[in-house]
Amino acid sequence: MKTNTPLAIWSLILGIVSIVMCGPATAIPAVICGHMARAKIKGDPEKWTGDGMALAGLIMGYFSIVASILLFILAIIAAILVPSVIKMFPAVANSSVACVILPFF
Amino acid sequence: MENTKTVVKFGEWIEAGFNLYKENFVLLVLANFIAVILGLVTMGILAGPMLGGLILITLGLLDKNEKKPEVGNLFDGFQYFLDAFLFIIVWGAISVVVTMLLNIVPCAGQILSLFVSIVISTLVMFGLYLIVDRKMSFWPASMASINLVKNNFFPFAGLMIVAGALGYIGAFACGVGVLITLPLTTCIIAVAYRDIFGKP
Repeated sequence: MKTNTPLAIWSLILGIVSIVMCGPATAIPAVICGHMARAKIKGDPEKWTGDGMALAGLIMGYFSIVASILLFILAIIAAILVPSVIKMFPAVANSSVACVILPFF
Repeated sequence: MENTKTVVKFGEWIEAGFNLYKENFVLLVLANFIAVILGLVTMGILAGPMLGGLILITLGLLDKNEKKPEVGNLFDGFQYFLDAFLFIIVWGAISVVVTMLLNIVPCAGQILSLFVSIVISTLVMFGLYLIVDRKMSFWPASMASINLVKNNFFPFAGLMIVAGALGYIGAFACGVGVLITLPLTTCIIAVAYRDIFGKP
C-alpha cells in the first residue's frame, strides 16, 4: 500500500505557514522539502505517494518567497523616496499621513 | 450524452441532496470548515484540492461506500492537485476579470456581472466533480461540463441558483453561517452529477 511521504506533508504544512506568516523562514524549507519529496516519489513510485501535497507546498513556498522579495524591494523604494518627497514638499510633513509614516523613517 | 438534452430533476435532486446533508451533517460541516479555512488562508491556492476532497467525501457518502469517508479523506483531493488548482485559478480569474470589467459600467454593469458569474459557474458546475471522480484533466473536464450544460442551460442555471442560494443562506448569520450551510450546495450538485454521469 502506498503511503504519503512525510516530506510531502511537511512541505504542505510549511507552505501554508509561509503564506499565513508571509515569511521566507518557512517558505525556503517548504520548497526544499517539496523538491526532496518529489524526488523520493519519483525514485520509488510503488512505495510513496503525495506528489500533489509536495506540489502544493512548492507553489506556496515559491509564491511566498517572491512575495517577500517584492515586499522587501517596495520597502527599500519607500525608504528612499519618502524622505525626498518630504524635503521637496514640506507641507506634506505636517499632514496627518506623515504623522503616521514619518516615525518609521 | 453530450449531444442529448439531459432532464433536470429539480425537486428530486434538491430533496436527495438535502437528505444527504442532513444524514451526514457533522462530517460535512467539519470537512467544509477545514476546506474553507485552508482555502482562505492560502489565498485560494489550496481551494481546488480542498473542494476536490470535499466532493470526494460527498460522493463517498452518496455511494454508501463500504468504508465510510472520514474528515481525513479531505486531503485525498491532493491526488488531483494540479488539475483542481488550475480549474479554480483559471475559471476564478475569468470570472473576476469579466466582473471587474463589467463593474466599470454603473448599475447595468453590476447586474450584467452577476449574470455572467451565474453563467460561468453553471457551465463548469460539474468540472471539479469530473476531475476528482473520473480522474479527468482540467480542460477536458471543463469542456465535458460545458457541453452537457449548454444543451439545457436554463434548467441547470435554475438548479445552480437554488443550490447556491441554499448554500449561502447561512451568510445572513453574520457570514459565519456559510460554513454550516455551504456543504448543502455540494450535496445537491453531487446528487445531480451522480444521476447524470453514473458511477465511473
